[in-house]
Amino acid sequence: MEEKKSLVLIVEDQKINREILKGILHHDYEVIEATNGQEAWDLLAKEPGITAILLDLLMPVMDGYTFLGKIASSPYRTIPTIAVTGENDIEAEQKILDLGAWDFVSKPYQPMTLLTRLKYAIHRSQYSSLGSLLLNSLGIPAAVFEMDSALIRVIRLSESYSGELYDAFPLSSQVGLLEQPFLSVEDKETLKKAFLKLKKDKITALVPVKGIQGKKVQVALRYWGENRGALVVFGEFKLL
Amino acid sequence: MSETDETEVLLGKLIGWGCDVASALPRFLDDKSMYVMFVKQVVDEPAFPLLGQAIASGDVKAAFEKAHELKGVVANMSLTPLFNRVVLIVEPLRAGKWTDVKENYALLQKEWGEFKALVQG
Repeated sequence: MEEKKSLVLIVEDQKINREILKGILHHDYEVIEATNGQEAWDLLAKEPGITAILLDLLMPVMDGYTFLGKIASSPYRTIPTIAVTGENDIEAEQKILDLGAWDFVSKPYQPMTLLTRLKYAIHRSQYSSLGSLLLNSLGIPAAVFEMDSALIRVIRLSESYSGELYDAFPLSSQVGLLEQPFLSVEDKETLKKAFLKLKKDKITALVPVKGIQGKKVQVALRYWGENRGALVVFGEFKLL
Repeated sequence: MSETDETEVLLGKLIGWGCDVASALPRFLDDKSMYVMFVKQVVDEPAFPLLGQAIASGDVKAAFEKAHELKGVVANMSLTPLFNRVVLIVEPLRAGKWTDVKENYALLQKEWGEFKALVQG
């Protein structure tokens, strides 16, 4: 079955530039368009599935700077916004970031740069929104891991489920981490109990965001969790 | 002449005029006919006359916005001669100044005429 494409909102008053962006994105994303910040703001309320926003800065009615300010104090702030602009000075770039943009790209567009930055912004937002969900809605669970060792313990824990992980997401086998003999039988039992407690609370794993190795494991675990209706949470939060 | 031939002829003219077509094509998925379709649209780009109106009325903010918009379009299309001229208009306006803006707009009008003739000729 074909994977559903993420929905990206293009906010740009210039028709030709919108068409160019649509051309660059159309293989990987669904696209909706707005011609200014106000239209974009209205669309956010109507279309809950927006995964990321590509935002021009100079537009009539509501410009990109105003839109960024508005979105920063709204529930939509978790949607990654990438400013697309012809501006090419450090002050403008700093202002964009200060206002809450996740990243920026300059015109003329470099398709690969744009796609890569968009992809990573979406990945980052998925991790942070899951972390926010834990902190804001669920509360920190009673079962905890130490911050510095949490990642490795979750990796070790997942070893028990390596077969499932391989089936769920091939990347886990590419990572190669699951094949390593991490734990004694006793440790495995201890972690398994902790894992089952977390699972009971519908929290499958708690993974601090650290380093590239961590990212790969996060991706594997997230897909694994999603396929089982479980929640895998990522974030840089302090554990008890 | 076939559509493909017309496309190639126009691309040749644009390159001869100084446009960096090679850098533009990847933005159009290397689809030459798509690129040419957008080039034809640029001829009637409303930001161009609106820039002239803003300059004539002395509205520096509106002039900057239209010049900036135009710069984005011609940059994405790699219409280098127009881009090089528009930059000379955008930068003083960004600083709220009119230094050489009218002169450069007059030259832009001439170059825009050349571009139009090239595309429509």
